[in-house]
Amino acid sequence: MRSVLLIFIFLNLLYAEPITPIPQHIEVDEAKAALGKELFFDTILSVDNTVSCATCHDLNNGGDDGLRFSFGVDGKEGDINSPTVYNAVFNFRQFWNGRAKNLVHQVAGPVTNPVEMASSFNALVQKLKRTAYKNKFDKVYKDGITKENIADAIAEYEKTLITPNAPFDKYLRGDKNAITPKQKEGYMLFKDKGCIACHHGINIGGNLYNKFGVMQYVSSKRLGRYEVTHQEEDKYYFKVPSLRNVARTAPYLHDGRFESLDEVVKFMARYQLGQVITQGEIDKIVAFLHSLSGELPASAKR
Amino acid sequence: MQKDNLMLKKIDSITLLLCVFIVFTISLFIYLVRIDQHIQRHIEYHDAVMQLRILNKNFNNFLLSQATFINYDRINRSVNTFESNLEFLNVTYEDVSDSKAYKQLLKTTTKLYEMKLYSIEYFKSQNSQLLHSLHYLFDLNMVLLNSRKIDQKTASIVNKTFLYLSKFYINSNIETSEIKNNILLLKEALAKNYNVELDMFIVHTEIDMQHITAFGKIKKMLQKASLESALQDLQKYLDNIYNEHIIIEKTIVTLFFIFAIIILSLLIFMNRRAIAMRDELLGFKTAIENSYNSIVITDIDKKITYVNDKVLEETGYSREEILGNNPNIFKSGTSNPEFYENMRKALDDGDKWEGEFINKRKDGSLFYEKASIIPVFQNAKLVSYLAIKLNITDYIEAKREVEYMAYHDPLTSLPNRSNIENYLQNRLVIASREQAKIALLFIDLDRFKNINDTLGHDVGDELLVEASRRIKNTLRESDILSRFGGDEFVVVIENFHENYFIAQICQKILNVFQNPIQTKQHLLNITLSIGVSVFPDDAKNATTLFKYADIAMYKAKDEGKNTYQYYKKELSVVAHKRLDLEQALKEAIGTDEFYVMYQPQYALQSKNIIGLEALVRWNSSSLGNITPDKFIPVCEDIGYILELGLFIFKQACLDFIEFQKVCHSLENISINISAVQLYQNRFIDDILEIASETGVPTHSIMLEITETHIMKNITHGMKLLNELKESGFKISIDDFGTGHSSLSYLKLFPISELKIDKSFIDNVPSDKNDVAITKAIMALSKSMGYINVAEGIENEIQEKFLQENNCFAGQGYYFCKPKTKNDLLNFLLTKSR
Repeated sequence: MRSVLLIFIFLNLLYAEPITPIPQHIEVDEAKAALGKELFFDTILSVDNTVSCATCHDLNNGGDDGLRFSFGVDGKEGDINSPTVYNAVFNFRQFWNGRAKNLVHQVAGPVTNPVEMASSFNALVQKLKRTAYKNKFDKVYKDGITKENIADAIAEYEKTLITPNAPFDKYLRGDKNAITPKQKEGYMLFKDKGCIACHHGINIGGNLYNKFGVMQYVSSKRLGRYEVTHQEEDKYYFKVPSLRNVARTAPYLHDGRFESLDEVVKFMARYQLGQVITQGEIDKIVAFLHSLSGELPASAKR
Repeated sequence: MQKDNLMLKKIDSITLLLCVFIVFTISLFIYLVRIDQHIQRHIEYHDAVMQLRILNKNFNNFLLSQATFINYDRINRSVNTFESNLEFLNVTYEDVSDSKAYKQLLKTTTKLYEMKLYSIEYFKSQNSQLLHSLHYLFDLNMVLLNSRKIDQKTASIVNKTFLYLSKFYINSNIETSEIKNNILLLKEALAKNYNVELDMFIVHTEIDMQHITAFGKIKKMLQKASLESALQDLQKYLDNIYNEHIIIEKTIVTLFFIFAIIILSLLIFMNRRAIAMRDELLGFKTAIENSYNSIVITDIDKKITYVNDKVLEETGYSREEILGNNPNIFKSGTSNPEFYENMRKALDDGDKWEGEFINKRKDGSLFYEKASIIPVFQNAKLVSYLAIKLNITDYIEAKREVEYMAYHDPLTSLPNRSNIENYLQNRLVIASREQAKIALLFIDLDRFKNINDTLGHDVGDELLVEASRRIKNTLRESDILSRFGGDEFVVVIENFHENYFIAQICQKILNVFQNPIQTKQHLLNITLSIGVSVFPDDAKNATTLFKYADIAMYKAKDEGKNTYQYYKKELSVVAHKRLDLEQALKEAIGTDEFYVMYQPQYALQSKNIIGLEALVRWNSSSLGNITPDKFIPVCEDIGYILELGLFIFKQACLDFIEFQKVCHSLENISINISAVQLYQNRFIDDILEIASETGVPTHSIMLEITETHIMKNITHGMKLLNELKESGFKISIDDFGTGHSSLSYLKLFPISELKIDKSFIDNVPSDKNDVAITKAIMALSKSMGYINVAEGIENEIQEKFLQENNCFAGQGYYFCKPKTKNDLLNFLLTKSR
């Protein structure tokens, strides 16, 4: 009975490969994506023409801005860390609190957020109609410029922002030498310690919510999922973030409280897993985390 | 034609039905396509709900697989699929979109799904936590079992606790109270002897206990709210709706089908009727084409659209020449416009018209057609005209022949007795209205019976034909000759005024028989006897006129044949006398039987002869002396007056020159001019020529014109008088006071002299009336500047009266009777001496 049980657990954890590689590309509507790309880099989306999507999602810098909190129009500072736009398409929900169902829904958030772009869609549509966008939209969309079409075009472009061929993906695909032995050990530890329970799947995370501070209370200004559901048990539940390109997306956690991977791994072990972890183990896991950085897509270049 | 109407109607309804049928079939097809789309859509919805149910089962399984590692990507994909299917169901499902129940069902489903999703998310978090916790507990358990830092008993409790928790993996009930007890024991042990691993073990176990409670909650939620039953309800609802629709649609399709069959049957039925009618019409067509009648059909503009062969045969036209033309190409123009107007009127009123045409063939010959023309109506709308015509030329001609025979004598082709009787009767009506005269001549061939009896009927007939020809040639066009019977002919004469005119005609007729008649074998001398009766002098009605003419004819026979007699004896006498006169006149022309005598006109005061009136005299070798009042009118009638007038004029002029030589007081020669002369074109030229020829100045010539002659035509008369005056002639009005002259006109005439008529002078001074008239005339003449000449002064008293009343001149037996040239020359010589 006992042995059966043990075998069951091990099989469960070790032999079923819990991480899947990113595909080389996914199908998109090229025309819409091209239009979306133009919008993505255009500050016209913000009320005073100072902020574009790319302002906070620097595609050359991990898909975020490397700041703890981002700055919007008039230098206003936000209160949450910009997540990377790379591979966002694979997230099951968008935003830290998961309030957007998909990328299309997500686009509206920053555009209308008063501390980000601070636009209103009605005004924005009118504004775009006075520019060359009018013709471009008319070519791609039957109904021309609308809120939905703006969001759709940008979302279509964001679908192209995936980073395939990370060393670890190559390893998963069978290239046993794609990662170092230390990284391999790190991956074993990653599974062994139970990180894998939350960070798995195609995006190594990004497919469930979990509590910030499972084992112990951790202070946090933001309340996560509670902000959406207003259920007491949802307090401090955040979307588990993707670990893809994690080495490029410092600072970490929803409030950007840690600058280094060392710190955040140590924090995770203590507050989320409630485990003792050695520096050697941390090093190995961090090494593994570095193997998750993929190739930047061609569409990321301006 | 009625049939034809029906046929057209049928064709229309067949077309209509066919259209309906096509529309019906198209509708049916469209409806079937729609039904198919319905079914397709239902299948899609059904599949969507089925998938939802399968996904829900997956969700349920997922929620029961606690403490198992699961790649959440998979469940996330299921969630996405579920949501997109739900959205698909939410978008308009046209059959049910209006249904509140459906919306309610969807709402319930969505709500239950949201609860389920919440459970799933909750499960994911809890499961992840539990999973790594249990895994860590396994490690800790292993470490603690082999650790020497804790006692045996504690180790056994740790192991036991872990095993209790492990039961959760295999879904066994776990003894929570046991675990809680163990945790208390372990906490006591930890307090005695702190160990990090044991501490961790306790913390994780406590947290896991919380997770297990959470899973219990999820299970309870699962049992409470059944998404599955909501989905089943949804599916059942969709199925019901679908079935209802299918039943309705099946019914409608069946109805469609039945209707289509009915229409098709109707179509077949109608087509059969149409075919039957067509065959029948073909029969009619053959009948029409081969009809003995001419049949013409025109459109409403009366353009010919159809003619049968008979028409071509009758008219000589080809079909191409006729079609498209108006039927008036056959019109001969013989009938009056009123006839066509009546026809047009009847047809315009939509009535049938019947009548007879006199039409013209292509070669111009005429033929008669009895026609009936029928306006053809369809649905109260005029569509064409049908004319059915029968050539009745032969019949008409035969009828005419019979009619001709009935009214004409076959031998001479002259009107027969009944014809002339009718004719006379008709003419009498008109004549009595117009107060005209009609003469009836009854002519009988003398001794005809003898010729007929002795020489035979053929000769008699030949004789009759020639006699009728001769008589006819003598007559004017307007006079009607008729063979009354046997050898009797009758002539009706109109347009005459004087009875003696008839006598002339009779004489002419008698004259043409002076030459013998040559028959084939014989030369026959024939004479006629003619009796004349005159309307209205003798009688007013035809029968009596015939009777009297007959009587007159026998009178002529009694007179010795070869003559004519009026019914009234005196008429006969006058007529014969007049004819004798004419005859004598004709013979006298060119002889010296006519001569001129002169009566002097003298000034009453001085007794000087100032003028002469030339008077013509006729000493007929056969009739003796005839007075001018007898023969001048006859001369005028026969036109001899012109010649005679000029003879007198010339003679007077010639003599006047001689008279002037012996009588120097002589100023004028007065010459009477007849109206016939006056109104003759060449008159002025002729007398001017004579005047210049004889050397008499025109101012010495006094033209005496009777008052009544001028008054007959005042405008023309005045013009002529003015012309004469311009030529220098003097004008004298003769017999003044006997006519009805208007004095106002009189003063316009260029007159030099007024002659006071003898009838007034005869009774002066004894008759007061005549005295007054004579005085008035003289007073009038004075005021107008005319000179007066009194005629017929026969005694001293008369002359004295006139002298006393200042009449300028006079003439009469008292002073001097008219004398011949030589006598007058002597008289003048005596006077002048």
